[in-house]
Amino acid sequence: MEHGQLKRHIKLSDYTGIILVILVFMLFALTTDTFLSSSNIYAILYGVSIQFFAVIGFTFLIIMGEIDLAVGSTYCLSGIFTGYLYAAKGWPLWLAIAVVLIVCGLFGYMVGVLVTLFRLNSMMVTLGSMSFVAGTAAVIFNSFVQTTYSQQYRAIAKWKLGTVHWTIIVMVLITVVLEICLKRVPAFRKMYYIGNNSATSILYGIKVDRIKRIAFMLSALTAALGGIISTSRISYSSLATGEGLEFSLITACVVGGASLDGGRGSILKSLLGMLLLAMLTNGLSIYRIDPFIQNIVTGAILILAVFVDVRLDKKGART
Amino acid sequence: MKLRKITQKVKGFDCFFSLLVCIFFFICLLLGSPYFFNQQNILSLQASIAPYTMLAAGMMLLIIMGMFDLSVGSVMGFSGIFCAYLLTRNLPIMIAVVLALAAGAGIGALNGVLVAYAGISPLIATIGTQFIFRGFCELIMTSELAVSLTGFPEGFLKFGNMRFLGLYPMTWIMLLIVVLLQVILMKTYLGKWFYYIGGNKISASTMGFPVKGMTFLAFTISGFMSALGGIMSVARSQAASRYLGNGIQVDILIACVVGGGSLLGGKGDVAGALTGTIFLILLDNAFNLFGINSLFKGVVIGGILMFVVAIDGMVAMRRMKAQGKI
Repeated sequence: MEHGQLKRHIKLSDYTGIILVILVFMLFALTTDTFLSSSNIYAILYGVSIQFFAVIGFTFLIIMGEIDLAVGSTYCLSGIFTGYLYAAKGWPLWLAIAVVLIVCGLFGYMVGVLVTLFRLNSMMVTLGSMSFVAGTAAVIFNSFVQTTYSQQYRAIAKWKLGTVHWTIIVMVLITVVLEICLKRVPAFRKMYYIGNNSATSILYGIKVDRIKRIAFMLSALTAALGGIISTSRISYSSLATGEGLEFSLITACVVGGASLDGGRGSILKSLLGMLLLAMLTNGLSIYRIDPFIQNIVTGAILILAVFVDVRLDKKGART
Repeated sequence: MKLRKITQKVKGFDCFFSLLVCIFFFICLLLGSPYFFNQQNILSLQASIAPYTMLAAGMMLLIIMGMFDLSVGSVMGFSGIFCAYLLTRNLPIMIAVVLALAAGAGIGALNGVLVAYAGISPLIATIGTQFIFRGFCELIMTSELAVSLTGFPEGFLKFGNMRFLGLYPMTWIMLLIVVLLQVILMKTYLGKWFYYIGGNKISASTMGFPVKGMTFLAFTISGFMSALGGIMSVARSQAASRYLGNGIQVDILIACVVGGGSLLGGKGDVAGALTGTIFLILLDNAFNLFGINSLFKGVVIGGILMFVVAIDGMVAMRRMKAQGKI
């Protein structure tokens, strides 16, 4: 871990994400006719841009060596909760969204407090909160009549800036801004120090607990935002929204080059990981390959990417 | 005086808390619902407790070592479906079961190799194998092969439905294995190694314990047990289902943590896997018996888990403060 981010030498393992993305892109672009069509590429980008919101806070946690398994269920809850307040209770939409974001953020902060106060394993705590949030989502889901939401709610995901959906623009902006922040701004650099060595960071006066709490809050908040937009896109609430999202986010982060031990990874890398997974799903369905084989491929790629990463890392350590 | 000694000894078990909760819960259900203790209900409870406990027991061994296995659900499904496939191809029951168990142990061994020898973290390795083998399950069960997976031989159905002293054979097997593993954990050197490695992997490795070998062994056992659970489930329901063991890994993990395990390692016992599983199943049963909307189950389980984890952390923190480590 000590040889991770701190040294500024070029490591091949930093580029596994981009290499994989280019390889897969080339593979599908050369072997299929439809993959490279602009509508198809745009569909991939649009799909990723909505899930991307959920990966922002999640990546911060991964960098610090923590994890939030509740992202998927928060993603699910937020859409349903907003729908409940908006459609069943007749609240104005902006108020419903604000309240949901605040509630989810507070819940995330509470989880962060729990983790930092008693030095708990975040995976164990969020395993509980995942179940808790998913249960709450199911309870709310069954307490009001499900309909397709009205135009106003559906318009959120459809809104375009010029000819491009706003989510894609925001995705690009956030990636650029956060990538620069993570490289240059000390407040963000601290997250890598914490991930590399939490105890030393405390000695150097970094407020580890506070940063972690904020990251947990952000993770819930961004997941909730993604969930609301996702529900707006499919135009009705579903309990299947965000199912297994936590695992695909982990896969995306790790394939992109993050380590679960912390200290590595970035927003761009997570985005590359998500693009890779989305391209695989898309490309394999062009080939009319069973969606279940996609599961197998995803699993194999995850293991392979990490295996290569571990090997490269060991070589780097030896030399 | 003697009573005090006994209570102290009992309190030493990691499963103590969950055992108390289970007994309390059992009494509540007994008093609260007339339908709880009828034969039908007890039988249906067994049918879910026995396979789940198998998975939890395998998982618990890993948890003691500070690891876990998220592929148990997929292994359960894959081995169950594989066993059904072999049985409907007219293989003798014994051979089919042994092959299915071997398949489960093989997947477990694959996990073990990935974690112990390739150096991949358990979370990633087992998520990977979970994806892969769930994919195989779905692939088999959506092909035309799935239609032919019915009509198991007589003996296999008997294994699922026969009763011996009021309990299914699978429940007896489950109890036998739990006792066996518990004795191994408590009385043998091999069992102690699990705790040493879970307590501090680095010093265990420095002291010459075979950390890699033990990791491999534990994952293989976990795969084997998951396969056993899958076969039990297939024998009981007399059909191979596409959803066999789907998403079960989180429940099993929760059962183990409620049963006294800690993901930090060095804590837990197989009896706790049993009591933790019983607790989860009883909770499920209570929702049915009292006609509470089963949707609240997730909320309650999640709340309980967070509570247990927080208490566990608080106790550990106090202990560390007393030792002056913080």
